[in-house]
Amino acid sequence: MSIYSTAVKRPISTLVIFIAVIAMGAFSLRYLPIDLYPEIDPPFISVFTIYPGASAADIETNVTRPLEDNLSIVTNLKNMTSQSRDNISAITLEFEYETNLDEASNEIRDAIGRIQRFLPDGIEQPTVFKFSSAMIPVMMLSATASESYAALAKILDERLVNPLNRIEGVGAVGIFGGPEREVQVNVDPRKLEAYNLTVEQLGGILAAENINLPSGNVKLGMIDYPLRFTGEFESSDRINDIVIGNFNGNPVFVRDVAEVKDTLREMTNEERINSELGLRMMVQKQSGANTVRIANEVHDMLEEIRPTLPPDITIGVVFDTSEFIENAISNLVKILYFAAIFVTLVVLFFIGRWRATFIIILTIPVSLVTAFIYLYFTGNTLNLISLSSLTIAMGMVVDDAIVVLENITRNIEKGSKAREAAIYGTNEVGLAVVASTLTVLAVFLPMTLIGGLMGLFFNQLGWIVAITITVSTIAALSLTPMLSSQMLKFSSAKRTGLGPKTSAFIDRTLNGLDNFYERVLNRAVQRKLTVAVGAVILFFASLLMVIPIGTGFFPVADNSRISINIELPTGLRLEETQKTAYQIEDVFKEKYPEIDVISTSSGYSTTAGIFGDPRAGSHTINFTLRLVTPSERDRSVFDIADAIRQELQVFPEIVNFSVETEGGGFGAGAPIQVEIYGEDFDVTNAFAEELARRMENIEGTRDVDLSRGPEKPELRIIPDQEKMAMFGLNTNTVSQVIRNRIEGMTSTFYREDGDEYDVVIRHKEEFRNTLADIENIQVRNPMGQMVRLKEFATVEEFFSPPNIERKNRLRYLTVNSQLFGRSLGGVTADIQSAIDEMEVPQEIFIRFGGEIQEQQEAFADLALLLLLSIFLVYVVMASQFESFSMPFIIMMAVPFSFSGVLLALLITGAEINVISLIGAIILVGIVVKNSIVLVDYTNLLVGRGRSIITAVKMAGKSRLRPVMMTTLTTLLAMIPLATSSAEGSEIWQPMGIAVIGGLSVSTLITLVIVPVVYTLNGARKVKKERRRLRKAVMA
Amino acid sequence: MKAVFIVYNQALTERVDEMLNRLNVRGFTQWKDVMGRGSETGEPHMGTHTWPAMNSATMCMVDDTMAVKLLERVKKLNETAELQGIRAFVWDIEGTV
Repeated sequence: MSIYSTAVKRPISTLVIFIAVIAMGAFSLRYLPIDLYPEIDPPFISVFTIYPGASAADIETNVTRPLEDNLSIVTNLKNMTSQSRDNISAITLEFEYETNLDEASNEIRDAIGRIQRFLPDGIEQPTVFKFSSAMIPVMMLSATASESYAALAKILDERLVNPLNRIEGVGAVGIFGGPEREVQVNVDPRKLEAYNLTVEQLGGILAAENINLPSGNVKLGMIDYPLRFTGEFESSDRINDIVIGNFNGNPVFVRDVAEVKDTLREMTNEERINSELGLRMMVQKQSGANTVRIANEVHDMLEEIRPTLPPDITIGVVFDTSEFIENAISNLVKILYFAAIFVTLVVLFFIGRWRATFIIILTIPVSLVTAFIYLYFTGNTLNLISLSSLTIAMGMVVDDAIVVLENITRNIEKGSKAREAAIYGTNEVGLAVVASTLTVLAVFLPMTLIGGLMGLFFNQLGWIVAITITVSTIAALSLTPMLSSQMLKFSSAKRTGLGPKTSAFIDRTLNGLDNFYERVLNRAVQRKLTVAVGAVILFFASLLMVIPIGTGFFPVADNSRISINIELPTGLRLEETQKTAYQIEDVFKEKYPEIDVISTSSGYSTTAGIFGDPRAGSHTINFTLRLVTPSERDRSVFDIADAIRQELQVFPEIVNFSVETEGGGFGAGAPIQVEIYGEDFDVTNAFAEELARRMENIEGTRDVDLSRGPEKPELRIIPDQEKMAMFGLNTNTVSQVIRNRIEGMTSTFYREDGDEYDVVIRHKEEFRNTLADIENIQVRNPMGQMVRLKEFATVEEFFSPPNIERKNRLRYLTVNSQLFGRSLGGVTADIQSAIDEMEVPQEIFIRFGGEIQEQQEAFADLALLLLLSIFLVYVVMASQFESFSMPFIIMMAVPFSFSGVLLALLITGAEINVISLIGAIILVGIVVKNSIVLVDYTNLLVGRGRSIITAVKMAGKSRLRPVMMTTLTTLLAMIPLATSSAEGSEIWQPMGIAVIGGLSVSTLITLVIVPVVYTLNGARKVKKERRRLRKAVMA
Repeated sequence: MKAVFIVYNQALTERVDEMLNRLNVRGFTQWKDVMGRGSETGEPHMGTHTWPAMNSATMCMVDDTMAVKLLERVKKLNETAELQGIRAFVWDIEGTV
């Protein structure tokens, strides 16, 4: 028994099965996580190693290089970049997609284990994180406070940062700014010298005084008392009264030589949120974790923790990348509803009956929910790709139901009862329906096979369309006949659904169209050669349109976020930097009402660690701006960013700046990166600077900048080894002594309420701020003599690179640029010609990195996919029609769909990018469907004995409506996608534009060219047959 | 005794069955999915892609009066759904076991 007769005979089973499917789909949808794209973050692992006190060059030689040599053998490694800067070596390993990061990180730990004993002694254990420090954090939080400001960092670190770190998927939480309490013992070196004491002695005494010690047990009477000696400071004031020595028989107290302050640590940075002092926290996710889920959990945790914080602390959100994702996805869902309404209207327009329309439209929810079931069980997310796949599928899932229902109606009109018409009507078209589904599968299933970045996109798209289309065919063969048997009644051929007048009008219009098309066909068939040649010329001419169309990688969306980095003259003091920062803040507040949150960060953070910007210094300012949502402002984020660029040029003290807008959460960094490889700093610097100068003159580039910071000045103490030895000193002692006096010596901890605070001894500020102060530092030698630093060492000024970058074990630097108002492809071509004009030194080689590289890889994948789809469609059709030539005739539709795509992109000024190319590939599946309908029916008529020309004309006239109907359902489903201007629309628009352009042009041309080529082919066959007959007769 | 051979578009199966029930014709032989083509009018019913429809055939042995009634009913049925196609043929039975 066939599926349709079972379905018709067991309507209740059929109904409950489909209700169960819908229920499961609804359940899956409820639990589907949301994301912007499928999991496309490249798998990253970072290895951070801290080597306190080492310079960038030392780090490179002693830490980064040996680590790199060992890490380079890790399997699946795609790229390895590293950055060596003062104190820190940061190595980032990028893996091939689909790499298991747990296995990779184990391998990395093994590799580190092997090399560790060859690394310098002073390094801290290398730490492995499953993210790239270049990734945009999921969220940036701010905290401001009034009375609690002094304790802000400590409170948040304990109560907020620790719980946040425990959220699954959070890679790390960085905290910037916020003062820390410390007990300072600021010594006056002259007094200390006078009492013949040193900082180290003082530290030793303080540490020795600040002790609690259990001293055994004492049995008194019946009780056993534990005995404890308590010497710890109960208050920081007590430090003042500690005796540190004797002078002339009188005790010397700490207060005699130093000033004890229970205060805040000296700040190297200042964080302001909307001009209020505070701090920033960054939440970074692990590679592959879900942004929206993490952001939601962070919000939940904030709500939980907020009441437990002191009431004056306000926690705010500087930015939250999940907001954009949620808005974009909810907008896309709205578009999906619109598409459904459009499809319903088209079906009603053509079918003209309410009940029939209802039966057809019901296949949409039934088949689309299966996509949610698939997504749920494969652990995928509801994202831009899955949702636009649904929009595409929506127009296609009704096709099978339409064909089945039309045939059932035809049978009823011929006099069958609904029940039988349902069974036998379905039987008649069942095979044809399955065959057309196979063609669609031939386009979409190969998409599930490709790998790499494009694979992550297309796997989902391919599966979703394949599954929903298959389910829609099953529904068309079971649910549709079952409902038809229950709901359809015998009625005259008149459509009455939209009222008699409208129906009559629609009928007239459609009949007019049919007749017009017949006339067109008639003429075309008469001049078949002219038409065919014309079409070929038209196609090749249309390819010329590709020249003015720009190319890009991914569309960039307005996500209301701007990040600004400003450099003032190197080495400028923090206080001066702050002044400029305040001025710029004022400009923002005055001229840019669109800005919602200004987060200002001046100077550099000592607590940022791995989050630290290698180029940050006391002279740098970083702004993070959040704008109000796009619907509440007129200017786009890109226009505002460009206006800010103009604004910043006015400040004479600004040496360099960059204003970045980020894409749709697709990695950080500039879109244009020219990588320059070479060992010699001077040669590569010179070349890069020259290239940067030339790039600045290229239209469309903004903020051209080198990744290697300008050399920064530093003071070096250069000992004379001979003299030092003469005094009985060695480098280790001397360097320690200097560090203790300038940076400070943490001698002990002051405990209060269970918290520990550093007790730091060092020279008072006025005794460590001139060169003379440093030269006058006294060092005690083993003989007990005090020796001044200047007696055995000199202090000199040097310049050194702040960071050394390497990629795949070669030194390199990048020249970066932002993009404004021009396509990636065009600017790249100009940069390439600029490089060609320059003389490239022999030891240098150049490559394009960033988006350009990604784009080239992606485009190559897409081209391959396109060829594979076309080939498979051909194979399926060749077997379906048992012919080599039929598939060619049918696929005449494909080239013209590309002409249509180009035309649409040209008119709308859109770019050829990954998203519009996805649209182009989908088109292959959609447009061949049209010509299959046409060719199949022509074949049928020829089989029924018509002449080829009559068959072509008759088929054209009778198939015009089904072709228009399937085309219009898909086309109208795409219109909301192409025209929406909601938040995030920039990302999906290109796909809508491409499909609309390609489908409409291809349909119009298919309707003429396919019948023409069919006649040409038929004429050839007839001639061949005649020749064969003549030969047979002669013989 | 007459043999009545009714051959019809399978979409009419239920109505033919109902007709036989109404007339109390108990015995019959039925073939499903048979091919056929009318001599003058009517689409071929071949079960192919070109001619997708199929026929069913029912043969019943009835007495002479019933044969007339059956033919009348078939004629009526044909008039209500002329496009579907139903034909009946009658011939004599010379003996049964």
